[in-house]
Amino acid sequence: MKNRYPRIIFFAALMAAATFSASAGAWTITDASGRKIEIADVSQIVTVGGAVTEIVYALGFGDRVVAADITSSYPGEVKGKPSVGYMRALSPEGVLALAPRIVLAIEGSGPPDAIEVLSRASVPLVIVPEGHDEGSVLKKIRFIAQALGVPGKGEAIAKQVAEDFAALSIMRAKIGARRSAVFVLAVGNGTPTVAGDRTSADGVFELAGVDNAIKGMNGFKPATPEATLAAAPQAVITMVERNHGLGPDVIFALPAFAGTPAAREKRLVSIPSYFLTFGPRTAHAAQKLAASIYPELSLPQLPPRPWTEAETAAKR
Amino acid sequence: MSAGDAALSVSWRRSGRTKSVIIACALLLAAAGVASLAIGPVVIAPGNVTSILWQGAFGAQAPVSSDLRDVVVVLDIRLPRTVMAALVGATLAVAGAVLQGVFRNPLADPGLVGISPGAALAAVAWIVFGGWTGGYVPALIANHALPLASFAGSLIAIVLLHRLATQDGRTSVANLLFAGIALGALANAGTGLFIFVASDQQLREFTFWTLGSLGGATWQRIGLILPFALVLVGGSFWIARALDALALGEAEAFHTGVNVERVKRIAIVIVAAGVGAAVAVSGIIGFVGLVVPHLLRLSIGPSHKSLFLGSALLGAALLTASDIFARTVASPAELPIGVVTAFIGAPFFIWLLQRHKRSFG
Amino acid sequence: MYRAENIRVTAGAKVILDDVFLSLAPRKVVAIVGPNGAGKSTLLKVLAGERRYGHGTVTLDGAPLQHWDPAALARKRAVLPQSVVVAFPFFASEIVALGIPPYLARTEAARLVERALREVDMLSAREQSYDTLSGGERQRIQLARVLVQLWANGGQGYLLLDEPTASLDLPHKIATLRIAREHANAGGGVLAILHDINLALMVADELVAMRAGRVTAKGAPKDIVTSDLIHALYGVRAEIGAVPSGPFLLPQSIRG
Repeated sequence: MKNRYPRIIFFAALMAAATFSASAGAWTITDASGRKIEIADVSQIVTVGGAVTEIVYALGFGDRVVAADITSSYPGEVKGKPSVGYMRALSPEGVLALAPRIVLAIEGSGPPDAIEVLSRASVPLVIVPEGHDEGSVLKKIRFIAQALGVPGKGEAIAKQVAEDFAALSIMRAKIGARRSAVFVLAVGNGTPTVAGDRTSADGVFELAGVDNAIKGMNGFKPATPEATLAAAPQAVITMVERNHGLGPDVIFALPAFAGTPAAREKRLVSIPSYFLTFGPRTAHAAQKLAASIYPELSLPQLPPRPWTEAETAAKR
Repeated sequence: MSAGDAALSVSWRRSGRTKSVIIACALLLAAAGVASLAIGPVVIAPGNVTSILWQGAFGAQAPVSSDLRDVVVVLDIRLPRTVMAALVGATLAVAGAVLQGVFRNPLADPGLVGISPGAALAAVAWIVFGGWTGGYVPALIANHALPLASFAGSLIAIVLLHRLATQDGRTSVANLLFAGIALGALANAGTGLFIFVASDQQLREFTFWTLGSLGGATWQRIGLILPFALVLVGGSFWIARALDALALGEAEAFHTGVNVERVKRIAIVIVAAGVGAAVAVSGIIGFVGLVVPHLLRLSIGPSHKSLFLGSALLGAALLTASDIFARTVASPAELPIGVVTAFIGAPFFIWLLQRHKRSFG
Repeated sequence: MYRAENIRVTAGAKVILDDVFLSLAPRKVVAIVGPNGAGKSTLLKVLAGERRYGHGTVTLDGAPLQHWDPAALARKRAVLPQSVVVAFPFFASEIVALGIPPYLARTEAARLVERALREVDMLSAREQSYDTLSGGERQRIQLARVLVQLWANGGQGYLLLDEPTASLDLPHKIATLRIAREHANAGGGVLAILHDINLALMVADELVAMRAGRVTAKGAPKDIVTSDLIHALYGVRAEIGAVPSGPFLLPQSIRG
């Protein structure tokens, strides 16, 4: 069943697309950069940004993806496709060489010059609005569905994702005393680079019912160890892909964390990078984070969705 | 007794002044040290700081009941950080003074002869590719991999530099400078290549590393830099008289009995050891090695023995004071300390330039 | 005793010194004269131990020069270069003190520096920065430094002077030659490159005339300074006169 599901979506989408191109011929969309873009052909897609790629696959357009950037690692089959490089270091010629009919790039892709060149190319470049909360996730899904000419399909997925977020908020209500955590991007030379306000990490903390221990600072910045200690985080969150093999024994030996409640309780959680991409799996990611921060509450899992199971499906 | 002392005693105008300037530098260091222990994002009453230090030093029970967090802040964060700031500051300032003596140029700097570029290349290589080693590198090494890599980078740079500039057992200072600039350019190109393939996070990590930070201060790291700092400062006093003579020129220094080749070798080795260790524990911190010796030469003259002593004290004081600023001004974020020293150093140099312009009409 | 035998120095294909023999004994002042490019300074550098030579031997007190370590050599000879640019703003007195070896007591060092400054008539400029001094004043400070170096080691040894009078006014030229003479009288040896033939005639016990890297004449001044020698060295004709004290060259008699 799980095997067949995406294929059904794909055929449905194919028919839908065929219908659109036959009747309307073209549709327009206003993207995150404020440009009005006319789209007529979505037969070959380049996706830039993990969330964009996941949504395109969820909408059943996976087979039309000709290339993606290296931050797109899900579903697994995307890794077998050509890469356009790192999302902030795109090369216009490299992207256009893959002969896409449409380029979907997350807001913040770069460098700005490359985006400028691509936006003037004959192939439509659509900038997908970025955001780090529930509303932005739904907006991304609806926006991409609209760009691909399948608003109905997008609405259906958005509805299910909204249900997941609703379930998540019920789960959050079970959390009595919220714990605080610090997200550590890198340790570098001993000064941890941590997430402040207005970051993806801060956003997922919010959804998971976790307080960001770092306050009064925007973005990812190195924090003075004394201030990190004073913030008294009850958990330390690192990234699976970026910890240089640093385990709790090393992290908690740093002066910034040695005296924190997190160190006393040895609460270190490593999260994969998709926890921070704010795609359709965000509610599930937030649930997993909450479950590892509040293990004693045995928080309920969210129901599986086709787009959260694609990895296992692809592996089979 | 050295020529340094003789020079002091034959110059009555300077000897008194040198003493008072050295004492002033020592007092400045003491004041910066006290302030560094007392000031930080966590507000702790000065009385508490004193009692915590007392407790830490003698194991006695603190008379004031202090919070465990305050004890950790003072003993595990502020104290090692203050000690490391002083050590790194002294090391960088003395290294600058030694290099300037060897190159007979007040603008010589570890960055100029390829030492810091070499360290930076190794650091960025680790930041970008270190993750690949994954779990295969033991955690203890992984934790110190960045300092170890940058230390290795600076040593490799200095060995290459020395090889390139030495012919028939003689090291030409001019060749040393050219080779240093060439090696630096090569290292920077390599760094650029790594930056090109680096992700945002790696880039961010590297950028912060190149601007320096004392946030990693632990007693372990102090143990790492201390022997090298001692080798540098001790070695600098050993060659101080020879560097005075070297101001006359290499041939002239040889005429007065200096083994010029040996002095150059010693100078390069101790500077590489000191700067390599300093870069390893704190990243690249500019301007200290340039500004401090220059400032001291203006007030106590160029005699190297007193210059090294003054540089060690004033460099330590300057970096300790800069670090207070770096960790409090943007709290909870930390300003890279290289930014602070550059903000102090660059205007000072512009001021010097203006003064020179005026004096030459 | 300095002894240089069969010295040959080349730079690439160019022969700078060839077949040079020279000895310098205590109590003697030897002056080297010759046109520009004759190899005088190179010879001085060879004797100083600073310049490597491809062929020949130089011995100091019987031991080959390359066997002397820099510190031991510095106790035996001091070198005054043509001009010295000092990298940092040292005071005049500090420059002089650079001649003091590390082991000398501080009071003794101060006494020697003061004596040397007085000797070269620069005591009043002791607290001035070296780079603010005129060319002649710098040369006198360097001479004081060189004197201090030998005084600190017993006051004998060899002075190697490269144009010590070049930028000095007349009284200080005479004073410098007097210092050289006194050093020789006190048991030291002096080798000086001099461009002024009359000064050379005044001070030298022995004259070494060089041209194109070779020694063309060597001996007591009154024996070798002739109109022919001047012509052989410089390509000009001059009359050599002699007033009671010894021979001299009349500059106004020079014809091209």
